[in-house]
Amino acid sequence: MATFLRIWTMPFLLLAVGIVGLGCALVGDGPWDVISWVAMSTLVGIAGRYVIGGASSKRL
Amino acid sequence: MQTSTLRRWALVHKWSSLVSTIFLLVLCITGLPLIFRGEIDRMLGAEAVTTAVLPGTPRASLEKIIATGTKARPGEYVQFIVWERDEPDAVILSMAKSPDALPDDNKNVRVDARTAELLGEHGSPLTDFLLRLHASLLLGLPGTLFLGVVGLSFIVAIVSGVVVYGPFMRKLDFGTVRQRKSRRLQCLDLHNLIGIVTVSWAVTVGLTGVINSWADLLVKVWQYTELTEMVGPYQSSVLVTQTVPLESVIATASDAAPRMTPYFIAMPGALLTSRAHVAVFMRGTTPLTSRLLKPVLIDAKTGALTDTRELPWYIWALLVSQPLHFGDYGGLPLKILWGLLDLLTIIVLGSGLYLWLSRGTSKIEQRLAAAEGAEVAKAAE
Repeated sequence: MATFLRIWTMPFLLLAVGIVGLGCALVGDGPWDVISWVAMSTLVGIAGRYVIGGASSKRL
Repeated sequence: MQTSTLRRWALVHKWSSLVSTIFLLVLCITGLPLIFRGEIDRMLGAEAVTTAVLPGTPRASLEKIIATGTKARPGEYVQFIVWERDEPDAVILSMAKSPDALPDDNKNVRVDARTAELLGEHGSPLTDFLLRLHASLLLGLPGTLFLGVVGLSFIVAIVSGVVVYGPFMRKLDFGTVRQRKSRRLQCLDLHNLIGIVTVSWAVTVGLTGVINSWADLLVKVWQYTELTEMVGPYQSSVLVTQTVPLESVIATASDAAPRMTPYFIAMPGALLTSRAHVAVFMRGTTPLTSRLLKPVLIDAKTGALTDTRELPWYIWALLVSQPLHFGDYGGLPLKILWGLLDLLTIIVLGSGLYLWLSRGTSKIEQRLAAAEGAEVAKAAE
């Protein structure tokens, strides 16, 4: 169970963030847009951090 | 997961990715500028901006606007009159060689909605070419349908990729990118990481792309079923060339669909209407409902309302998926995010291709062991 949670907690959280971002983009303007931008920026930011900034685990 | 199951899923992931990767790279590369199509067209000078007029200046009549279009393209006919959501002061006229020609080769001109002055052509040859390449590989309907299959393969690759992600991450923390090991391991880690982070976006863009690839077929299904029913006894009518004033047509359509505004008009003979009807496609006024249309059919000779009804679910799915595919919902910030996610997908595709090319002859068990190797060795210390 601990292994399952370690592997899948972040992917599920990011999936939820993505769904919120896409859903808000679909629903409307104003605050919905802002929520959408924040959610989608989170995905880009997390991926970008590892692409540009390298690993969280340089020890490896 | 049992090794045999993992091997099967890895095979599914490998082949569903391999058959689609090159085409997906083409789609991602051509899709990137298309996200910013409007901005590029304006930058290339293809989209003249409307000039300022005195406040309260009345709208020009649609007949006057049509006259501007036919003067700009003599011998051609206006098939569609379109009001863009983001540009209320301009009208786009979609013009064809004949009133009942298919709109594939239509030329679009923009006219100022207040002064009826010609603003120029709509769109640029560059983005038009990129769109045709992106939508059909320049092969027309067969190319579009083929890309739909590529999209389905992409979805299978994503699902199988998520399944094999778990076993490869058993011994690794989320976000691990082993830079000091081999280039292949670094590539694998980036492939897994970016793939899992962008999975919701990739599935959405993949699915909406598949739905878009069926657009022609879905519209044809609607035409042959619901539109045929709506047109009813008018089906064998002769083409009406002289319609009632379009302002009265819009007024009738607005009465039939309250709290909605016109999105576009299809003139008699055009796709989406009959030879005897002017069809006004109304849209809602909220951000979401403005993507959903309601057709109102009006007798082109008498101006009488003949039928209106909601579009079926599959056309709604198409209408919602189109802007979502290009990130066209939330202004420029969302477009920029779509562009960045597109670039990340290119990295996932490129790294996947590299992993396949550098795979050697090792089996899945060996690759899994190699992927876990660093952590296993560390644990043993």
